[in-house]
Amino acid sequence: MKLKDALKKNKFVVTSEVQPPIETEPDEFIDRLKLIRGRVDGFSLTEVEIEGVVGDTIKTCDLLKQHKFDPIFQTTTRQKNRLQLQNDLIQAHDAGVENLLVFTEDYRLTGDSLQEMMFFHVDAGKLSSVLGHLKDGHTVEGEPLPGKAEFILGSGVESSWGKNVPDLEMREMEEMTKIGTGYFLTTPVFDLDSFEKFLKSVNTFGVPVIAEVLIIRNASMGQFLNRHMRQGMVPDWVIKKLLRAPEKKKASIEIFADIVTGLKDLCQGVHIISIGAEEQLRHYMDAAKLY
Amino acid sequence: MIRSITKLKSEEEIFRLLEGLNRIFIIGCGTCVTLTRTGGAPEVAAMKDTLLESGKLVTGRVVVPVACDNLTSEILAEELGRIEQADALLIMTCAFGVQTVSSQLKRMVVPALDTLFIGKESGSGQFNEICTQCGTCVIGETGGICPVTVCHKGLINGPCGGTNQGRCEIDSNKDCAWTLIYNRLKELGRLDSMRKLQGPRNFLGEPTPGKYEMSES
Repeated sequence: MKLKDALKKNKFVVTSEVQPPIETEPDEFIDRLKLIRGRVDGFSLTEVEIEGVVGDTIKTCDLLKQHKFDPIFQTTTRQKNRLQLQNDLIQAHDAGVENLLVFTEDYRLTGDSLQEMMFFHVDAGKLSSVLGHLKDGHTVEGEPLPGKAEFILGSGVESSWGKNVPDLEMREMEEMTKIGTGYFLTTPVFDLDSFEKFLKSVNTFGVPVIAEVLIIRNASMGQFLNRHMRQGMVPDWVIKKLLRAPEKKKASIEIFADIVTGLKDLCQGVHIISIGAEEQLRHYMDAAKLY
Repeated sequence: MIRSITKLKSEEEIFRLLEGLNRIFIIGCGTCVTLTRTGGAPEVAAMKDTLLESGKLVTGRVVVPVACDNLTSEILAEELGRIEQADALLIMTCAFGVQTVSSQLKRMVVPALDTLFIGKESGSGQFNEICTQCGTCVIGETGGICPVTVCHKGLINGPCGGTNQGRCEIDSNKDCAWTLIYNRLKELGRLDSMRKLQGPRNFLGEPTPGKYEMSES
């Protein structure tokens, strides 16, 4: 089902992040996605990874459309100024992409070109200065466009802000609702109790909330994320379980299935980050009963 | 008081810049770099020893009171003989001082320091960057704390997702500007300011190079 329809029909939405191929043949890439055809409502295609260069995102969105998958163009305000963002959004729209996911993105701590300038010219997830204009059919400078560029917009929300500044997630979500966000996408969820508290404490304005779920395949992957992305991002219990488990894959699948099963009662969907394990995704989805 | 904050370049870089230049005159400054201990009298003396050990000849050294002042040339005039004997001037001041000397003496200059930022002294030996002179001051709406400077990403509608228990994702020793702003506005009973969406930032408040000329009237 297309993401737009899944959201409209209140289905438990499943989306997944994949990297546009750069060295893989397009056929091989599509074959990996075919393994889970019909079970994922949209594939988000990232633009810049921590390692540096990835394949052409808009071209890959087009490739997915040709193979009847629903692509989500995932971009960031980190790498682009308003003009580049505008160009890319128009191009994506012209390529028939209907879904958009935008983040401020993390400060780059690893990968290539670490001394390069980062922009952040458009603020956290709002994009109102660009998207608002394109939706009305003109450029940021007010020049008319041949058509209106509208997207189903996914907006990132930080489910742990409450620890520091309790009202801010509400304000952020309110602003995103004003610019017509189609769904909220959270930061990775591991702890269901605190996620439930977060959902209760914020008004989601009737907008669906999709929880991001990371597939942690082994303990060192969790430790890497904690060291390079954010301390405490992957909780100790996950790392310990993976360290002690005789069968790492089984433990990894169990962790994923438990989280997703719990989330089914709490929110409207999951966004799975498989970190290069698309081929394995079906085993994880089987265990979590995502059919 | 604001200060120009500097750090000593690596010896490797200094000697690369001095390659082929054997007779060196060293200039320090009695103001900011003396306070930060990067270009005061002791550091100039230590640099002299380093150069001598590496086989360079030091024709002289001086610590001028305020290197960026236009009167620096008059102070350096007393040293002109030894300056003219040198192949290059190794200058242990911030880039304002280096450029002042360079424009006044028309001699080959080599900076020994990197200029990091204009810092506000917040405690003994502690300096923070709190303003980057962007030309579009927004602090009237952020409780007097500048998000353009203090937020690493310069977000004027913050915070981003990287705020972590009041600290910044790029460095856990640095505060999250938007947590500071939130707490300040809360103290002031002005949290309503947080809810206001700021329009797109003007990144060309004062296009570089900044220039100011007082009008005749």
